[in-house]
Amino acid sequence: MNEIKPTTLTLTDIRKTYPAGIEALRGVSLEVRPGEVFGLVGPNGAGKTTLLKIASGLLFPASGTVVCGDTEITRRPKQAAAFIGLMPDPLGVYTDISAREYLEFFARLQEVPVERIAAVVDYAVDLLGLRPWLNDEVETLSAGWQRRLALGRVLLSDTPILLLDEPAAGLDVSARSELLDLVRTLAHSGRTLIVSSHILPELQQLADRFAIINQGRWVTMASGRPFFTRDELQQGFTAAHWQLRCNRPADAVQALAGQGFSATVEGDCLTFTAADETMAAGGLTAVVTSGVTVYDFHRQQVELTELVLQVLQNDNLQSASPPAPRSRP
Amino acid sequence: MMNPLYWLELRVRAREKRLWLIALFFVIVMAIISGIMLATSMQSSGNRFIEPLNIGEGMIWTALFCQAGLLVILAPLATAGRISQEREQRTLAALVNSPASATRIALGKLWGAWTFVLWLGVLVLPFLFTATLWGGPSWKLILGCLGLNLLAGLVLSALSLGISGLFGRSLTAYLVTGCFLFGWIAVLPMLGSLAMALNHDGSVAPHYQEFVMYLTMYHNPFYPLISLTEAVTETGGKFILPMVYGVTVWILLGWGGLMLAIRSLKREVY
Repeated sequence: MNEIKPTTLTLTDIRKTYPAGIEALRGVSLEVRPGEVFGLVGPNGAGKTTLLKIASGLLFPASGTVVCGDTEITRRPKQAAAFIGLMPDPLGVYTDISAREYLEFFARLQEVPVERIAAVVDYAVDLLGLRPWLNDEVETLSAGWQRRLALGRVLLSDTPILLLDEPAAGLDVSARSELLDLVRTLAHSGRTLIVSSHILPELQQLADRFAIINQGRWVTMASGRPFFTRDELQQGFTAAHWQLRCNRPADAVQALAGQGFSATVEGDCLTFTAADETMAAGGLTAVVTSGVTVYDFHRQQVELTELVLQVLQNDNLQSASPPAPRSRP
Repeated sequence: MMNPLYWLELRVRAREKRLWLIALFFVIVMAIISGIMLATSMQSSGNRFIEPLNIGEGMIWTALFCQAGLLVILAPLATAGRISQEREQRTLAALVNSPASATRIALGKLWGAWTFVLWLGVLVLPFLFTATLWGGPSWKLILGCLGLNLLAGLVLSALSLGISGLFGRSLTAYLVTGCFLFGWIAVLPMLGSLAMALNHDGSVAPHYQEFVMYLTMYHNPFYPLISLTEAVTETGGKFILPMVYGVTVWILLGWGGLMLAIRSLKREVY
């Protein structure tokens, strides 16, 4: 494979209304940095697929621009294809040809020189572990292998940006894990990746930054920003929750209250909030000094799933009207 | 480099059982019709001397018109779902998300479909060759007729491809293509015949009949073939203009079909 030149993808104020009158995107802007893995999260019909299809030139926005590096590619699928490889959902694979023919066909379509086709196909096959199934008809492959094959298609060219729409959808736990390992490998190849997914725990491990989309617009965090990083997620944003397990929870709560902390108790565990590690350490010292024996003390991580549910719930409550049923035209 | 869509079509279609069944059907129909033609010629000659030239001519025209008839049905059948099927199977996104232009994709599909027409064209050659052993029209005329048939196949393929691009479901594309071709090939000539029959008393303008013929029949997929055979067997000259007109309309329709297909590939992919 040729060396991949890291490229920025910038979407500015993208709006899209489907012919049926459904407003799919309402002024979405996004800048994905070179080599970054960006997680796109949102419920069904939120506008994730529409956004990815607009970025790859398959759908035309009512307004707004899509720029790759310095090149504007809005409404120009052919130019977009030079920068962006899209793995759509649903996949849409030709089922009546072999896996090798499938890859060879797309290598030709990607205008890979004839003398390089075999090498490029071999690269994708080895990366994806497709060799044992290379001569099997695509129809006979399992959903997981078909997804790998579709991923192989976007790897045949040297496009610096990959858009993966629900890459692990419909797969069992093991196949999902294997596929996401592959995506992780791609993330280290210098490519810029946007991954939309419903499988949030995996996305949490994969992406550098996340954004939540709902009803065609970004949902902002408590900080007022639409995007957040994995570190922020792990640190619980503005304040972290700390969990403490001890022999006398009631005394521990009293000790914490003396330091200005409010704690909740569940069994022998209590949870309190501290803005940073120094403050948390102060709380722990107060508990220990009061003679309580502490068995365990750690920062409680916020799970992406939990966060998304919470944020979406707030967003829906804030909306003037309940979300309209959304469907593709 | 070979058009990738054409490459795929060749690979896939060559393996399809349907293709070989259609070819078998084509050959069987040709053989049956040629056999009936031969038997009829021999029977009608009674005790008289059998004229080989008549048999050769009969077989050649039967083969060529039979080929034209089958192509009119099979060429659209092979093409009518080519783009709508891509939409239906959701494979169009992968095609459009590539450096290949809409024109290249449409041409690849058209050549793929036309190769099938060519294949059916090749299948008729043994019949024509056998028939010429009995005697009959010159090779130039036979090749001219064969060329017209292949052109008609290309035009019908392009038209079907264009219609296919308008729809997201193959079944709809097949039905609309069928309706269009039925209108063009059967309904228009019937209307033309009706219009001429209703004004047969000569009370209308002198060029009325000719006008109706141009409007409804001369561009029919069979008519240039009829014109060509008549131009040779009859007095000639007067059949040339309708034939040229017919072929020109074909080319325009085929071009229109291809443009429609290209345009449809430039549409949004939902």
